[in-house]
Amino acid sequence: MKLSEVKINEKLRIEDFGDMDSQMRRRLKEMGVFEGKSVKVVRYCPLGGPCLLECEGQLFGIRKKDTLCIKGELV
Amino acid sequence: MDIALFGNPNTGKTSLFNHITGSYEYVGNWSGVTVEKKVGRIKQTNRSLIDLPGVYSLNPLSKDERVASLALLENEAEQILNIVNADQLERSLYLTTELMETGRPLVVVLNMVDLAKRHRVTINLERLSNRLGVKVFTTVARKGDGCQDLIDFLKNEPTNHPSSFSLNYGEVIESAIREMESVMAQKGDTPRRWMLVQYLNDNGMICDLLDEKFPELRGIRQKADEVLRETTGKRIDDVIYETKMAYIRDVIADTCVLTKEKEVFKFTAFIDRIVTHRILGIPIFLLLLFLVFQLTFDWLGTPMSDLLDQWLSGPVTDGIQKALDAMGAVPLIKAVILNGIIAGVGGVLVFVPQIFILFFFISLLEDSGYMARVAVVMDRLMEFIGLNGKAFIPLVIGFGCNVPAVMAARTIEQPKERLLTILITPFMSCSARLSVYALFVAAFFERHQALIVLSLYVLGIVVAILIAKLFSFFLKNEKSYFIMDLPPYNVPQLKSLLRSTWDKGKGFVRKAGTFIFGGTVFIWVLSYFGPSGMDVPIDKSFMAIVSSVFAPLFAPLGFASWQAVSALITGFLAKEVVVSTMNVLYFVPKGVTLSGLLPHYFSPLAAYSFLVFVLLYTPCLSTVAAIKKETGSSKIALFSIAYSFIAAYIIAYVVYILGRWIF
Ligand SMILES: Nc1nc2c(ncn2[C@@H]2O[C@H](COP(=O)(O)OP(=O)(O)O)[C@@H](O)[C@H]2O)c(=O)[nH]1
Repeated sequence: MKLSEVKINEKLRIEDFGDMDSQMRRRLKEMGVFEGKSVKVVRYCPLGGPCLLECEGQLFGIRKKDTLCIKGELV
Repeated sequence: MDIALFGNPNTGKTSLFNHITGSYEYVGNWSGVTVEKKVGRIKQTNRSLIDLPGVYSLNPLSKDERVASLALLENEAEQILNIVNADQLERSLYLTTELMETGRPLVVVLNMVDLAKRHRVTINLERLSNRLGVKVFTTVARKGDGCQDLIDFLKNEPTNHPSSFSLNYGEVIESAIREMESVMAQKGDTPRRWMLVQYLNDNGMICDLLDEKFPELRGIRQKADEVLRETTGKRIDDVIYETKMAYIRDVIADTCVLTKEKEVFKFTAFIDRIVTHRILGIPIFLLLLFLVFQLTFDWLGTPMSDLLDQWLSGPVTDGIQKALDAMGAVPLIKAVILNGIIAGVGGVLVFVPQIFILFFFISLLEDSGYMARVAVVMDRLMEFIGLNGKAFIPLVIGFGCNVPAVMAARTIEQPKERLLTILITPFMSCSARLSVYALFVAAFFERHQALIVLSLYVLGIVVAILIAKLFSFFLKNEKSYFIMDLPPYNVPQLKSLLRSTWDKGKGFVRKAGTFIFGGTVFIWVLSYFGPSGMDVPIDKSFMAIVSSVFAPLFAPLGFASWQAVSALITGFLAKEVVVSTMNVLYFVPKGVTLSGLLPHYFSPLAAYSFLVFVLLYTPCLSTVAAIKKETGSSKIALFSIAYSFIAAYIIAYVVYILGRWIF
């Protein structure tokens, strides 16, 4: 399942970053978001804007196109 | 021995720095990059603490971040003070492992222990210190708790023993490292393991550095990467990352107890539900913005500016005049000081209260954590014009004053997006330009004042968007990405707010004393002297002569009088000077106002074209200076002067032609 398909307040355990931009992926890893972590969707901004996510009590926002790359399982 | 402060963004680095150092000992630029370098003296010692931009790792993505890695490479950072977010240990310790690999003396400061406590995280300090092999302190930098212990330690124990720390990355990587080491040793270089690990981890900066000297390394890396892919299916940087993470998780499991699953703080979640609301998010932001502008320009700033103005033009001018009379100064000196310097520099100084108030609220919005949310909410719109959400903040600030706006572009990571933001920021109609609009709409467009002014603001925005779109075709060869860390909200501390307000605003005051001072005297001299001597009638001055030369250039735009051109030239100093110049040059007789007089010189259409030109042309001197400082390039500063002049000319011309065609 893609992160972009996850509903608000649902959690996805990340399995794969797909073909996400390598710098973007690196920054996510450095921020503690990597394979095996669960992220919760907090909000989608309107008009295809960024998506607010939560990972272990930490909030961050990434663009919609990047949520299309992240795949995993609902938990 | 100098100590450098390393840490993730938003971990309380600035707060800690401010608590353990006194005033700045030195603020300047890092050589080669235009990132500010701040050095402070640690209280009660004579040791220096170097503040570094917040980084997540030693592998930099932005210009700011490069500085942190440079400090290690160039041995500026002989010792390391590593501030760690106790509430986000896992990700904070990633940087720590990279720093420990450098083998430099290192002290860990666990900050935000109050938040960790609220998340029910208990950390066994002694064990953490043993596991990491370094001294560990805890602080709440926001309040200053624990800072004294740290100062005492830094005071009394000047020599830390370098920690010996090394992770085993598995046979493939380790043998690649050995091979690289021997290549480097053969060429007479002492290899540093941490650099090789960074090299294998694809740290662009270190790769560039080593590849140049040791071209053989590339092949070794490639080979190791292939072997790893074949045997484990993993990339080399993933293996390095996982090794570090496994170590970190082991340390955390050994030293921390988490009694319940972490959640976002209720208060933060609550505020976010409102300010990042799907529909209300943007209106709420606009409302807050409106409030800030009201406070800055109407409720607080303008009364204070007026008071300052009265004081400068009243008691100060009178006092200096008396003093000059008493000293028997010659008329020339008197005229320079009173009509040139005081009028000119004073005219800029009166904006100091507004600038500081604006900066105060910007600091407030930043410190509270709200600005990060605004960047997210606005990202979609900004992406459309080739920028990202972080660029929105400087543009908004630009409506107040372009100078702080240009400075605020610092937070944008991608150098090209930052440059683009800096280049279009001056099209945001700043408050100084409003005084020119006010004069002209009163004279020409009495019935539609608000509409005309609004049309100018909108025109500025439209032009900025078009130019951004245009430039992004030339500039955009870097990948755009956007990722925004949203720290928990907190109530900012007054003291740190005042400090960051002052940090931001002091440059403005300094500039008034140097740059604007010089420019004012120069322009005044031009209008005081003429070919026939000094104190000539103003239309016989060099100013009039020079302006008349350029005046025909503006005939296609509808205003070719030398006075208008003079006003534009002096307006380069500060846009509000356009008004005062016109007041002087049009010989306003008693009983008549300038706005009553202007219709003799301009047609309404020419007046509008003039306003369009004032809106768009060359940024004021202070803004150009800020552009030069922030980009570190005179060429870009000159470019911004030239291209906005050309844009202004073309657009004012089109407006004039269209207008003539319609009316
Ligand atoms: N609760 C709490 N907040 C802190 C602490 N240290 C800093 N802060 C807050 O965290 C925010 C970021 O701090 P700052 O010093 O600007 O961090 P920097 O971005 O790393 O320089 C500010 O609003 C501080 O008031 C702390 O120990 N506890």
